[in-house]
Amino acid sequence: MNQHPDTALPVPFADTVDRLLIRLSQAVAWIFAILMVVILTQVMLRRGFSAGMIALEELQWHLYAIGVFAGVVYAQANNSHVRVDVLHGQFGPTAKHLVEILGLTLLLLPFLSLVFYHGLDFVYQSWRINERSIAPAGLPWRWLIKTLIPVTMGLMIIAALNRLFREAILLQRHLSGGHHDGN
Amino acid sequence: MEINEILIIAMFASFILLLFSGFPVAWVLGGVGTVFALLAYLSDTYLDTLIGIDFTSVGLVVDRTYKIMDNWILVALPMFIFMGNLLDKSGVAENLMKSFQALFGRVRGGLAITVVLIGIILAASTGIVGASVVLLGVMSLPAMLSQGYDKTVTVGTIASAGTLGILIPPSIMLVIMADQLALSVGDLFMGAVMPGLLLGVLYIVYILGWGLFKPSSMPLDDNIQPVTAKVWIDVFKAVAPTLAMILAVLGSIFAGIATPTEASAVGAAAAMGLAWQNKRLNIKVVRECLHDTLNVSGYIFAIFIGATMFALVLRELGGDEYIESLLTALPFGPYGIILFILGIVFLLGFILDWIEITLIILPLVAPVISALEISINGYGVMDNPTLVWFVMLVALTLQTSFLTPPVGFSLFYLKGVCPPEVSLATIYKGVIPFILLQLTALALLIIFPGLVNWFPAYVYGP
Repeated sequence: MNQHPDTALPVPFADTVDRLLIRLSQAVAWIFAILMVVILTQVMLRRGFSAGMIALEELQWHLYAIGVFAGVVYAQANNSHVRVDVLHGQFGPTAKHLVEILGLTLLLLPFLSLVFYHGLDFVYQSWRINERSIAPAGLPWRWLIKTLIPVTMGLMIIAALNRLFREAILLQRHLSGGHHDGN
Repeated sequence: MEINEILIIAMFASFILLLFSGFPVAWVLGGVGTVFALLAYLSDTYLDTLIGIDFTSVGLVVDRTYKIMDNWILVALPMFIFMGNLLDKSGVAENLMKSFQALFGRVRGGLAITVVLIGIILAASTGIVGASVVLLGVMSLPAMLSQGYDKTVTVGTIASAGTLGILIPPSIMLVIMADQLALSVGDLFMGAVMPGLLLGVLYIVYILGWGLFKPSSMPLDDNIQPVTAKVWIDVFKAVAPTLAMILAVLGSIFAGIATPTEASAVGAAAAMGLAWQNKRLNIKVVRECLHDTLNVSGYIFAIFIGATMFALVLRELGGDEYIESLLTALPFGPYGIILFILGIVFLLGFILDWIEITLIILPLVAPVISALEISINGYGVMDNPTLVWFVMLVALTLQTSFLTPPVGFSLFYLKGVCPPEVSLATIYKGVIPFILLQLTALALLIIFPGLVNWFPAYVYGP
């Protein structure tokens, strides 16, 4: 439930990729502030002028979805996804690196690839019929927001591969006797 | 035993085992789902089973993921998280602390009571357990220790008071539970009001009692100021804005004026206003709050996505019917089954946290509860009184799991801000009485369902 201690160790290329992903998602975080303003606007329109706008309502879940999915990528690059570390905390560095490497290759990457692949198809089906909101006054281009799923998965795959690279380097450094990684 | 039943059990078992590897929970869920989809497919191909999972059918996970995006209720989630983060940095809690301390200076255990009261107020405005525990810890731990409070009492009070947020509305846990079970968020929020206050009262009674029984564990401050009218005015000035915000947010939901999503944005704006009033609002604070919101929503929604995959494969394996048949075959009677489920949730709470239990276990057991021959009084105005009551029992049990060693979230958060002389063992010891109080409250809720349902029914009116 806390951060992996290894994140602090420098692996130049991996650090750059993670930093880029973090910057990108942090920039997206402002969407929560925009979401707040959109909801407030809609509340005022609805209460004050009893003229709630369908498009504004739909915009809310669009913004929310972009924000939280950026958060998923952020937590991955930032290594802050929730872990159960009762035993993990006791593991030595080799075991910790192996857990990450095996987990990434056998659990996370297959899962991400599956959702990514089907996500592309999902977007294509929507794009093919130029899907839009069912509500007449709703937002057009439904396929655009659906693209969020493969985009998120794509970024996650980059983050996961990057993590895999980092763990492999750290494991190799550790095994080659270099105890300079602080463990 | 059928092959699909073996797969169901193996799926749960590998999930639990792999959790202990320390790989992120969300990705264990998604990964185990993926691997077992493959196993089911292989079993269909080579063992002539008819499970029916193949590469195309697991593609449904994308549709389910899209359902998470296209979701009115969940929009409230990042907003409540944002609101909580803003409020924690707004300086409101510090003001409350100062004024309450003056008010309760003469009461034995006054400082501990102050912590519980602030815990309740924070809970009713933020509901992010980690942040509340850290905030209460940073604020009151040094004061309590330097005044000579017993260490175990100190840490127990702080951890438990900070954990009230998960139960007392607006709680993000209740938002997710409502979404999963198609209940009204308002009903759950209202149902949680009395149980939350009940806990607060139990904590305070316990502290007062302990102060009488063992005064040395809670010494009084040496230089007590008399409680003058000015003290009361200060308390009022500190409490009024926060209370107004709580009333605006919860009141508008309860009165049906605003949806929880609307109220969450209003709350976030109000929290910003409070921070501004306390001269704490600047671009740096807003950015920090946004990043925290990003992070917390990120790890919650990762578990959402992973659990979607897990639940999808489990369902296709026939896991739903299997669990239902197991539970209904238990020879315990309706209340026995409920106690059994709560027991399981409590035990799972030692290793899982509320998000996974809410997303995986709750949808599995809810149909069982609805089918039980048990009638909980909804005073004729509630849609689903039995389920609301049951959800509240689960919520209280899960809240308890925040405090149970070895993997109580609150304990870890608190340890993070404790001075080194407070060991994890002290924290474990300190929360035991509070865990017992929680279980007492749980028993009361089981015996008197009115504690949950009376308030929503009263608000709806006859």
